[in-house]
Amino acid sequence: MTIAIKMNQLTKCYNGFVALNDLTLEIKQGEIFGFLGHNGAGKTTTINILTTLLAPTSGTASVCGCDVVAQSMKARSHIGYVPENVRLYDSMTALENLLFFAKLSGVGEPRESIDETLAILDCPQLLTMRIGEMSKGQRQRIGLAQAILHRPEVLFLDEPTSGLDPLGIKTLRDLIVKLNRELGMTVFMNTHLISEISKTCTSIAVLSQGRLAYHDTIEGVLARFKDDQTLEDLYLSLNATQAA
Amino acid sequence: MTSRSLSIFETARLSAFAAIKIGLRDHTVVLLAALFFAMVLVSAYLGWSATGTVNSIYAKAVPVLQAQGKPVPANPVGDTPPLSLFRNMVTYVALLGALAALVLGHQTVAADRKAGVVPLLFSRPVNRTGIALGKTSAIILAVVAVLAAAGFINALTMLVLPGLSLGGAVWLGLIKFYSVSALYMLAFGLLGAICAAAFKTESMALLIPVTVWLTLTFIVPQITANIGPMAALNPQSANLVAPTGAFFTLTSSILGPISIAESYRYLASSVLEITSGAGTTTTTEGALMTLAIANLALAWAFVFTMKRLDACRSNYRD
Repeated sequence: MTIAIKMNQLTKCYNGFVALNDLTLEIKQGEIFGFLGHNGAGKTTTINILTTLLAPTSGTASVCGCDVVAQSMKARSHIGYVPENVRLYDSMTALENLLFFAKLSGVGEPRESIDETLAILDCPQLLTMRIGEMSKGQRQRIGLAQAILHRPEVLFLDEPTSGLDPLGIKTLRDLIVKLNRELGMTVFMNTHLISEISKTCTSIAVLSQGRLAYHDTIEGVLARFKDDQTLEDLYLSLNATQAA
Repeated sequence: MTSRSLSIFETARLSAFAAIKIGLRDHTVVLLAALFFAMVLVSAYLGWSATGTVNSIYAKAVPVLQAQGKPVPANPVGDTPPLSLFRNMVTYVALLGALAALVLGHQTVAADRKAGVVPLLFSRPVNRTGIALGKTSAIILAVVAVLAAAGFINALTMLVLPGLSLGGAVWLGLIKFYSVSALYMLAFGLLGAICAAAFKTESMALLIPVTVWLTLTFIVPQITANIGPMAALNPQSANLVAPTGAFFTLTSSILGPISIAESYRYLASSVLEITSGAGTTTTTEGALMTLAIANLALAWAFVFTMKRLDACRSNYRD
């Protein structure tokens, strides 16, 4: 299977502090990849490097075969990105925001793409609503919409369910699976919620203090551990080992 | 679905339209523009009122003089340069115009940072230079639109006032005045945008350019030419000759080239025929050069700052 995301000895230091340490990882096309780790483990730093927003201190990374530093423009055309706590222009409607981002992504028929995208995300009713008037869950959907308007091959989600209620979390989880199955998008998802991983992902990795602590397919994980609780135990024990 | 990378110019066009749309919905920007317009109307009214009073007195004096058999002098309104009626505009542009441009420039970048969309913008296949050029274009368009409307009000005022001798030179002078004003306001717009991109907190991003504006408007003229803060607002002060002496010679030679407020006052006063500028060491070419270089340097600095803007920490901390 084709490799969608490749990281080779990826390292990022901030003023001597090593946020990401020698990370080597490959994610296959069509996967929903869950990147687990506690706060400050280096998950967002990894996503920032992969979305070309941050340059690594050393090592290399590529998305769809494009180096994120040397071919950053090319890499960007393959990716969609939803940051944590997605925020758009409050004074604009969803349509105005989406038109702007669709045009910026070079989408040929922006209006058609917006209608299609909102139909996929089951929220065409939000089109004329101002972002400032939306609930957190509605914003999250429009945030997801702006990221997939150009039908990227890889979708990066940073803590996508952060701040959502249980219903919002389930809805978003279903949408992520839908995007993966119907549009064939590879999904790279940062999270620290164990429940999200087991219900959504096809493979996971655990990051602890900037280092890769564990990487396996979800089948491999489930074969080794019986339920979410044991997966949580694994997560906690890995982090405890790294901390020690 | 087809998608492609955008050229710098396409990016700039999209960025400019978005900045204008957001700016028009920003109450602070609209309020400052409205305040500037109100001052333009006040300036027009003051010019109309003063001219009307002179015309009225002249109209009453003519029959009296004729009845007494005395010679009737020409209407003094005809001797007054028509553009000098708008002398207050120099002060309004230097104060409100510059401040409005500064806030407008600030908003073009701050709106993105406050909305948290910088990572979304910079993770797309667009060039940051294009985004910076778009925002610069938005500032230019906004400044030109505000000044064009102000110029239109001034032109109407001149047309309705009786007794003014209006020729091609007057209309050309009006265009020159607003062109120079646009250059001056644009410099502050760019300064606002640079600071909005460069600083980590919004309070600093606003405080620093306002301090620079105050310094250039009130403090530098005092250091270079001994012009007090209140006199610095008076367009007549463009005619003042800087005191001689080692201190002023040194300060004017060092700070003169960056003193865009003095350059603007000199140019605006000359164009409006408020002062001749005779006796001062400033020249039209020198003052124009100062404004042009300041704008070019600030535009370059803005592109540079936007390229350096850290998308991962783009939200203001306050």
